[in-house]
Amino acid sequence: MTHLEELEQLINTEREQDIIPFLQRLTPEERTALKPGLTKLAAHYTEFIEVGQNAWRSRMTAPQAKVLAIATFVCYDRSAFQRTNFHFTLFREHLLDKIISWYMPEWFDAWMQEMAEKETLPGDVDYWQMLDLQARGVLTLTPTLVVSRLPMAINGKHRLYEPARLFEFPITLSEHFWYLFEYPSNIHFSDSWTNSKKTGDLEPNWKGFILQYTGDGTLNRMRVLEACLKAVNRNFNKLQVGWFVDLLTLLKPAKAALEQLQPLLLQALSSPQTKAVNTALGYLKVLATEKAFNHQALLDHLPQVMATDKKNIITTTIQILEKAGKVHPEIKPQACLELCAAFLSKDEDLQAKAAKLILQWADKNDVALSDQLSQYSSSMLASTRTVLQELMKDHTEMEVAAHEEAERLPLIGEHNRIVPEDLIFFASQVFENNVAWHVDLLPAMLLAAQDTMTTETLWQLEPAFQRAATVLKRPSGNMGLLDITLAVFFLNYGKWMADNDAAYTAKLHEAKGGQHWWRIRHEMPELEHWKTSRTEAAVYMPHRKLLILALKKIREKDSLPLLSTPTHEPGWIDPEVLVQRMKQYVSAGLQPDILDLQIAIARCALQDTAAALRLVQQWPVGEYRQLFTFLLDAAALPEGPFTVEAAWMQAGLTKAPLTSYEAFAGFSYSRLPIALLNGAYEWKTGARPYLAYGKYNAEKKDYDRFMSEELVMNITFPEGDILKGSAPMLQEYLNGVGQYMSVSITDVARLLLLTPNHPDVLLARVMQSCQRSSGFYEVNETGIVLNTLKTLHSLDIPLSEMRYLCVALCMLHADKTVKGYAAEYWSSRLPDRISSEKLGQMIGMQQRVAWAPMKRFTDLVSTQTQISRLQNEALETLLTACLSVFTEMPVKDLKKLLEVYAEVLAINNGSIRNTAVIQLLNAWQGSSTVKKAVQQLLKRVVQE
Amino acid sequence: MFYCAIDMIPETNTISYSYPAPSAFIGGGAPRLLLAGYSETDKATGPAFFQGRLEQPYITARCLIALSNVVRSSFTLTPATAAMMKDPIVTAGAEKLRFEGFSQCAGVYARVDVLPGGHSGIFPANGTVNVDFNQPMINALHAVSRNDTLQLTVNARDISVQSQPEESITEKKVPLPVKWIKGLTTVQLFLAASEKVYTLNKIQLRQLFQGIPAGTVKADYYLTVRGNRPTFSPVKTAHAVCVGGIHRLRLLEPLLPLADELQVFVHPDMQSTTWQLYFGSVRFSLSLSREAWRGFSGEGAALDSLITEVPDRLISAMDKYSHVNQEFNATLLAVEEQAGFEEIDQLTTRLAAMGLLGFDLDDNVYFYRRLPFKLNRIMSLNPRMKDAEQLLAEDKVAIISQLQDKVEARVAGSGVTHTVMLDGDLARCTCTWFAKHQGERGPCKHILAVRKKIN
Repeated sequence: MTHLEELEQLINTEREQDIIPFLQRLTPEERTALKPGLTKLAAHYTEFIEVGQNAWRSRMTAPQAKVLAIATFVCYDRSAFQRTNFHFTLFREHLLDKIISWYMPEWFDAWMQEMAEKETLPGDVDYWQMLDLQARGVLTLTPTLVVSRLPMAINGKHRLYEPARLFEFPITLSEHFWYLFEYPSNIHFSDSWTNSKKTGDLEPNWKGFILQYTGDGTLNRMRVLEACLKAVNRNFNKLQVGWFVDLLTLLKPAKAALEQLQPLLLQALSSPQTKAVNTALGYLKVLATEKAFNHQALLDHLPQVMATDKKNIITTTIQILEKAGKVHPEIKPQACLELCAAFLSKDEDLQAKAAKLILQWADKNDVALSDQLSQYSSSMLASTRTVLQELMKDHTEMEVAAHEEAERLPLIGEHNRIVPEDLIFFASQVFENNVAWHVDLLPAMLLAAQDTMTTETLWQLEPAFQRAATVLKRPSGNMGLLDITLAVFFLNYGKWMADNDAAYTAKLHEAKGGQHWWRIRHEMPELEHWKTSRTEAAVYMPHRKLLILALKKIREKDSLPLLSTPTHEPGWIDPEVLVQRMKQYVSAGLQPDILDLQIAIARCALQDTAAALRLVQQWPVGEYRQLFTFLLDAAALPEGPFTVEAAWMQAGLTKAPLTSYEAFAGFSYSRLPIALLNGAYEWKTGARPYLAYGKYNAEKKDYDRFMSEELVMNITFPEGDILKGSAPMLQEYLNGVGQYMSVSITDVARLLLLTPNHPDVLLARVMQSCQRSSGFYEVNETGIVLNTLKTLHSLDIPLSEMRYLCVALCMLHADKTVKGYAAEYWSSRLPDRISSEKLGQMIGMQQRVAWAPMKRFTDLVSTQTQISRLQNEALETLLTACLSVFTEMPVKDLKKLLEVYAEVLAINNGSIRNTAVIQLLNAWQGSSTVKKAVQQLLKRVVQE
Repeated sequence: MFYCAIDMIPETNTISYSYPAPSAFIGGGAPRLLLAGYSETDKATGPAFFQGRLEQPYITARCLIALSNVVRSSFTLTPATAAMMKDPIVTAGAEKLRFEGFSQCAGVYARVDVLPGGHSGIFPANGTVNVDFNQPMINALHAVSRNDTLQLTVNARDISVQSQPEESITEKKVPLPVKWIKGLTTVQLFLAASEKVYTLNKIQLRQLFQGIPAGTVKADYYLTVRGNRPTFSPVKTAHAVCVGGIHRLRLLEPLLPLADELQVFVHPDMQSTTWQLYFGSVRFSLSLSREAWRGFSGEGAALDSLITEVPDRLISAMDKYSHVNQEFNATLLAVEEQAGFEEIDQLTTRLAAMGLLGFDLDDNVYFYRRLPFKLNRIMSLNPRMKDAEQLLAEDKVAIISQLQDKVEARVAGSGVTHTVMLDGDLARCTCTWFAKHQGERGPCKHILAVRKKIN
């Protein structure tokens, strides 16, 4: 019997007791020689097998696991053993005890250290076992190893508090204990590890232990206090620092001790954790009036302390300074300079406190202070500036900058013209870069290239075909359904070309590689019949239909172009180009595809249409001439004939969505509520009842349900027979997002850009799905909202009700990026491309019921002040309009909003004239929470 | 003598090295900081690089702590994989001390420059070494206060004797990710191309940093100055500075209250931004890669210059003329060695890619410093170049046409054939890498192979 067979038998028969004698018998070479066979055995035994319905376990039994663990430990090298995971068994079953006397690999020590560094040490290795291993000379007990296990060593069996053992080895408390203060560990979790309950005064955990033994002198109390303070500056995480701060507080250092600790308390002020800073300040406050107080060191640390945005820290600092200033008046000039940092905070109370102290202490002739104050003046609140006016009198007030209006560019021009590059390089790019118009341009370019396409060019497109095949098989996370649809289209195109080009087919047959697209062509879906769970949403149909159309044209060698291909970023069509494309159809006497025509109309940039209109006038008289005249001439009314109803309707919706044309009254689309086509949906924000979930009811085996209310922004989508007619409107597709909108983040822009002139239909669906409530956003929803907002921002179109609503909701979004983006959307359109009043009302209609936490909005407003005079004024208009739609019932945090409003009014030196706001202010006077703020505002009321 | 076959070093993601003794901070009445060094190329013992006093000990200590935070940070890796390099390197010479290091993801580069005036002491020798930044030493640096003095020894040779006479010194092994070395060579080229765009005063810089959103920020942010106030906005506007992974800037936060001003330098293609804080004679600069998940190591900025071989004669001449931290004067070398200016121009990039040059943004010059790693190791770190050479060796590059500087070529890739078109400096390829990055992250291996072939 070979060694391997013997081993196999040992494992098979679970002869745990025989494995060690067996291995001892082998020479090192023989052990190494066992490795390949052992690996196969281990793989076999560790495999998971099904042992019952939905029940799985590994094949090996517990004794077999032990045999394998010992065998692998003895025969394997370090990395191979690490990979097996048998080291968990090794420690759990204390198998090392049986091996250590006759075998210990050289790598053991280093391996343990590495596991400790990487925090992958098996949980069964405990502190006592490590002490034992060290005593046996096989392990070096480094601080990292110690701190990884010592926190748990305070508990004994069943995790019951058992501190006595810590006294067993002197090194534990004389040396190892102190590592806890010096190295990162999980000590902060140790409090909750114990199963013991508190019985006396002391907690049954490390804190209780330290409190007890510093009390009786077993542990050096002063050293513990010092170590706690040092620990806050050691790059430990927030929780660990918090634990040491708690310990320090628990030890209640007396004044004498604090005096001794003063240098360390001052050092703690530079801790990155505010809890430590705050606590240290609390203790320094006790010392501040002492003669021995190191006021100079405090001044040194002031810049960092004042840099925090935590109110309580700055408040305590001011208190300490007040105290210290009485004993050490020499700190005053320097302290005043450093106190100015408080003016970077937007907190009125804080600014007032700092200003008060500065005013009290300042030498009126101190030029340095006067300079410093004037530098900070732009970020001071109006009230602060008034208080400190006297000290800044020699400085002219810094003017707020003039409004920098964003450069006004036409809808289409050289700046956004899409310049197609060589097909072979472009085709490679379309699957890589998420550019909205790539999905439109590829089919258009292939269509345009059909007469010039050679076998050689097709061969050059090979990398792109291969990429498309990969996208279809394994789309990456950032790809949307449209990317995959485009890949299917492109592969269908490749197959068609191959079927019609013998030389190309021959070349493809020579291609190597099992994953080559040609080899898997039989698995490729046909675009016309491709079906997955996601492809059925109607919203994705327009793009797919366009791609099918392009394929059809190529197959039929139809050289007429697609009408809907954008010519300018992000999704516009130059009206002149559209007219030229259409002319080809008119000249050929052919009808374009109705959906293609609709999308083309919806994408037409209707800003400067004169040249295009002149071209249309040269067309022969007929429906298309009438249609395009209606589209391109703002004043034109529809004049029949009306055979392509969908195109007429689309022209109407693109040009004037809210106008209903009499001529269209007989169209089949009048069966649909107009809101489904023009996006002017009804919406309301308020409380709605809903069936909430309660506790789990074990008897019913279900959750209890009860009626509750939620604050939602709800858009009403009227019922309508969408997609039932022969030529559905593009908007009907866009309404078909399904019950749970299943649009990928990356597809949102491409879908919105089907109707860049008027994206409201899809926009409403996005808002209803992603912004109905102000909380609980998923990552996906935030991504969709941000991409929607980015797309809107890229379109310089006038705002509709839905777009105002969208910007308002985004300004109240929890995500700072979305919020900031929305604010930018507003400010970049000032003064005349957005109505601050309308936007303010929209926000007001959400916030009058406190749909979103008020802080989101007030914080945003604070960042938008003092950017330009014009913006300050617009902000005032916005806030006035916002408040004007509130109700007499004050909502949560109204006070903060009123304070921000007062600040904006103060900056502008404005007054309140809006009667609705005045009425509300008067009504709110009765509410104690907002009374003070209201009274401040009432001073600015001007009755007209 | 300098050029070695680039495949001599086995490919590995990490190398390990160890210091003879750990660095130490000795407190007390006259605090001393003893920095232990290690160089892969120069293991001989010699005098220390610097011995003397720091003139701004408090600031310098804070900057070193911030640097230590940078090299311990990681913005892409899990904590288990991130427990790697924790030490920066230091270059001493020409009256300057420069400490530089990378985050573990190689996407953030930081450097502390202690300039003349920031120290007073002697430079018995000069050079560049890895320097041990152990936790106890960093902890001790926190204790330095404004009124303290601080003696510094760089590349101290006899630490054990001076600091811990009673304790046995255990050798400390440091794993070093090799992408770190590559990042060190690449970032200099980004710095060299960068231009200063903003100078912000104490107040402005604080206002700016208040606007960094909490948590990990995925979206790009844009720095603009409106009126007098700098802001970060998520909206792209003309001339705004694009910053990806903006949360990485928080590494600077502890230093902000101490700084006199902040200067922002930007790569012309916005591929990197550098944020330089000034504290008298001490400077702290932080460079961010284009996106948080992209390290400088993969950018391939140097690849174009590596295509042409530079004669060994020039490289050894340059080594002869240069002293550590000294400004590298390409023109002077050209005159001395009678080399063409074009040759010298390529030489600069090539030397930076070899780890022989660093870049000083303030003076806008390269300075000489030789990374403490074997040259063939550094040169082995350009996998794209190696892949390109492989393509040539396997004869996979076919030139279809060449008309002056217009070249069309076919390069056999994995399963497909790529088309490469060169038109002067403009190059295009049909491969995925190029399609994705459009040349922003250096040429792909196919373009490199074609360029090398026509050279």
